[in-house]
Amino acid sequence: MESFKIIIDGKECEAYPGETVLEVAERNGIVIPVFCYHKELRPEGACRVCLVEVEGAPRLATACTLRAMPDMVVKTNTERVKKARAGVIELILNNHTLECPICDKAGECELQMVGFRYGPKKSRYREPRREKDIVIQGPLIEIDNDRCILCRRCIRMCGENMGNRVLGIFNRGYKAYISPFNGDFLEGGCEHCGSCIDVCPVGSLLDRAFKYKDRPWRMEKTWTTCTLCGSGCKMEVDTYHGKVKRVVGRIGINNGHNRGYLCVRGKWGWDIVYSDKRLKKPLLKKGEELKEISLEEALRILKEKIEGKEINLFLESSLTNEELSKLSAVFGNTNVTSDALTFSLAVEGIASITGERRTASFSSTEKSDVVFVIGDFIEEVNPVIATLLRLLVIQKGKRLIRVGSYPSKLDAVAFSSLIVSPEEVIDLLKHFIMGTIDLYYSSGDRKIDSAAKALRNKKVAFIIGGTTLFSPDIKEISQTVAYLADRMGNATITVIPPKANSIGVTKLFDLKPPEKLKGSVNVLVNTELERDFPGIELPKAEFTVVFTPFYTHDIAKADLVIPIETGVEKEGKVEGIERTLDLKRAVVPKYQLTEIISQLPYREGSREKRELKIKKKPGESILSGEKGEIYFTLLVNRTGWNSVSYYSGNVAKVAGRRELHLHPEDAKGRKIVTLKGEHGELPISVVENDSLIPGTAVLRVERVTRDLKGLVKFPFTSNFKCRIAEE
Amino acid sequence: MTLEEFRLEVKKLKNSGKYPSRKSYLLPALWIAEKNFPQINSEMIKIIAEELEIPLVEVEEVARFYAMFHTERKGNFVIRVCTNLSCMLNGGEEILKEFCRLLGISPGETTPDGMFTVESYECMGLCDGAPAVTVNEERFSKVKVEDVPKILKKFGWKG
Ligand code: SF4
Ligand code: SF4
Ligand code: SF4
Ligand code: FES
Ligand code: FES
Repeated sequence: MESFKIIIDGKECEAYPGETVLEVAERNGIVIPVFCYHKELRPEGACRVCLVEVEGAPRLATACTLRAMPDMVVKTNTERVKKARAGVIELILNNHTLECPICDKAGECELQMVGFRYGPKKSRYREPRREKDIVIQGPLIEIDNDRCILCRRCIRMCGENMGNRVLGIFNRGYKAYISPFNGDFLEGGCEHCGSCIDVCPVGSLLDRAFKYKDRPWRMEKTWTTCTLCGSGCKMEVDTYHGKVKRVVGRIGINNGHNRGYLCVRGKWGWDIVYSDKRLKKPLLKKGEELKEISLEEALRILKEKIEGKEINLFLESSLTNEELSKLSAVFGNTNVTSDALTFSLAVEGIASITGERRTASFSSTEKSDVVFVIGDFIEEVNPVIATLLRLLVIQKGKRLIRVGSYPSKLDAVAFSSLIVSPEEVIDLLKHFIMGTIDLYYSSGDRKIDSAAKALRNKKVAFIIGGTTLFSPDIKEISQTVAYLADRMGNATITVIPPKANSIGVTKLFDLKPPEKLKGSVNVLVNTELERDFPGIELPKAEFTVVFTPFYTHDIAKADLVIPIETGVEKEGKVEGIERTLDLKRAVVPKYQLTEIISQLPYREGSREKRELKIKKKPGESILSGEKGEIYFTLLVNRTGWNSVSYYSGNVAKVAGRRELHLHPEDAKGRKIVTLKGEHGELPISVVENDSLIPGTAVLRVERVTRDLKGLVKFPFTSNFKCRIAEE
Repeated sequence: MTLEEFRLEVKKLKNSGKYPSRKSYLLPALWIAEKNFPQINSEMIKIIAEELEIPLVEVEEVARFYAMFHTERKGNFVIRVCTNLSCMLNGGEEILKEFCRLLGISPGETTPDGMFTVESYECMGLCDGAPAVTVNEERFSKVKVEDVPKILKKFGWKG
């Protein structure tokens, strides 16, 4: 793009076509005050505080909407501009409550800052201050409309960037105020991403969990990484005297790959640190009971019990690299299982074509023309990744193609969404492969052909993720995608890690299915068996040790239990989707896994190099359905992923439900059905959902509990089959 | 009208093919609710949102934006008295006062028996007949203070 020059306040600035005067000024360090403008949002021109003078133009113009033109001469600080700006601020302040002393936003409020710098010294207004007195309280969010300046940032954020459109403006003019439908966030479909709070320039949209809890200027800020899923979002944890007060994303300021966007788990799940289910001391089984013991004693017993024994290591994959390397040194790295198993299968599938156990970083999407997603429910498993994918379309104009078996929120912005039965996904991908071989190939389906055409001669970023990672076909799907990418040449593949360090676990350990473990001592780290290894029995062992931050169901099976810390209490690194990510300790924990493990003897490692078989052919589906059978996907709600709503009081307030989504053809009018699996059955309430394709069903749960044991079996929790009992 | 019947009406409207886009059916759908119910409530908003596939909040925004839609309970007869320029100059404000005095309510309120709602209104395009009043869809031009009881009686006022 050809750049050109414009002059702002006498300074010659370089501008690019399409840029606004405000953007050019910002890049050149010239400050123009704003309220309604936000870097991440579509400009609206609602507040008029960014007025500037343009030479040759009769009226002042709003810099946030004014396109820069060659040879434009702009002044941001003339008397005329100052007066107009102060006038705008005066009008806003006239109807703004004087609540700064008790307002949570005070200290980081944009109205305070802009008002202080550019506002009038006094007001000429004689009318009484407007009092709307409309406060809307949701479970986690509050809107105090007397503080609202109607900049509409929240509405644009929620409706356009998040694609939710929960917030709106009711009434008009003098009486206008912000509200969700019926004044109810839950009824209005709020996902509690917290983005609206983040961009509100004033103290109108509030985090209720933080309300009146502390003041922004005296809290200590720690930038760390959320470990509650594989998105690995960068976030600011605010503490006072070592206690977490809130988490903020700081959209537009945050320099992480998530750019400040968070989801409900990252924004409100911090209180798992203070969960009443936290384990306080090591426990030892004595007879039928568990007795509290000291850490020294626990370590002594542990040393004794593991000496010379082969260990069955059960790893949950949000542990840090430091923790993992110590665990591997002490417990070995070959007799190991982990919930990262299916992720590692995806990597294997790709490696069988590329010869490398490596996937591209997420930013490859930025350099591509088309983003090709193979995945279902990314918006539930990795909500922020789904948001970033959405933003690639609406902000960067990328084309998005999605292949899956279930409807997705991403479909609303997709150029094409191809939703087929799970057993047809690979065949569908093969049509694309044929398209690369033969330019005149036709699949016989117009929709597929037009999507294939959109890929031609384009840079394509493939993304595999969501519940598709847990399909029995995952390795075959990944291999097929890799084959397609290889044929196209100009393509990258990224696999979205389901947990914060799925990548690290896959690199450091040779993972096996739990049935293949052959040791005599079980060591469980950070895991909950029912959640991470559903349907699996713990192998018979002489001794079972559980390292966990919480009282889990597994404690009943343990001989020794040792407490460890949670995400925000850790210092270390995880392998993220974009790069290696830093965890900085925001709270000092009582027990630290790395410290505990360091006191145990290291063993000689004997890890052989893993063989890699290069195949150079696409995969084949191993799914085969008979007529009348239904494919189920076990979907843990966004709030329940990683058991967040179970341990976090905040997130529990907005937790989802357990229900079965069936196509009306399959539901046949039933309100409750009984699912029958190989080893058990489950009665469950039905939601008819005609956006599903017949023959597929979604079993939504908030928490994976024991009663699901007979239906699903680790590691494949998606696209499994069970029957619906005929009443 | 029951809510079920309302849904059928909205469906009928949607399938009429009158307008090029889904969103265009929103105002006519709200009109059906306004005419057949004492107020547009969240149940009706939900039905419209579902049928037209428009976000809930967007339907409520529109319903609350227009002064002619009632999201609060209204009386059987809505009396709109214009107090905009032409009508004001011709005594519209006195007419409004008289309606309020006779009914014992303030502008924007509804009589306790649920019969009448009085609203102070902006220009209704009836300036040639200023001061103008409408009761539901019936118009009254060049209204004088002494006409007010007559108008009320026409709609069953017993006072
Ligand atoms: S929290 Fe997220 S979904 Fe909810 S209203 Fe705010 S932006 Fe919208
Ligand atoms: S609530 Fe905040 S973000 Fe939304 S319009 Fe009001 S001031 Fe702007
Ligand atoms: S998307 Fe994942 S990493 Fe990001 S805030 Fe949510 S749980 Fe944390
Ligand atoms: S920032 Fe430009 S009009 Fe609000
Ligand atoms: S001013 Fe009353 S109808 Fe126009």
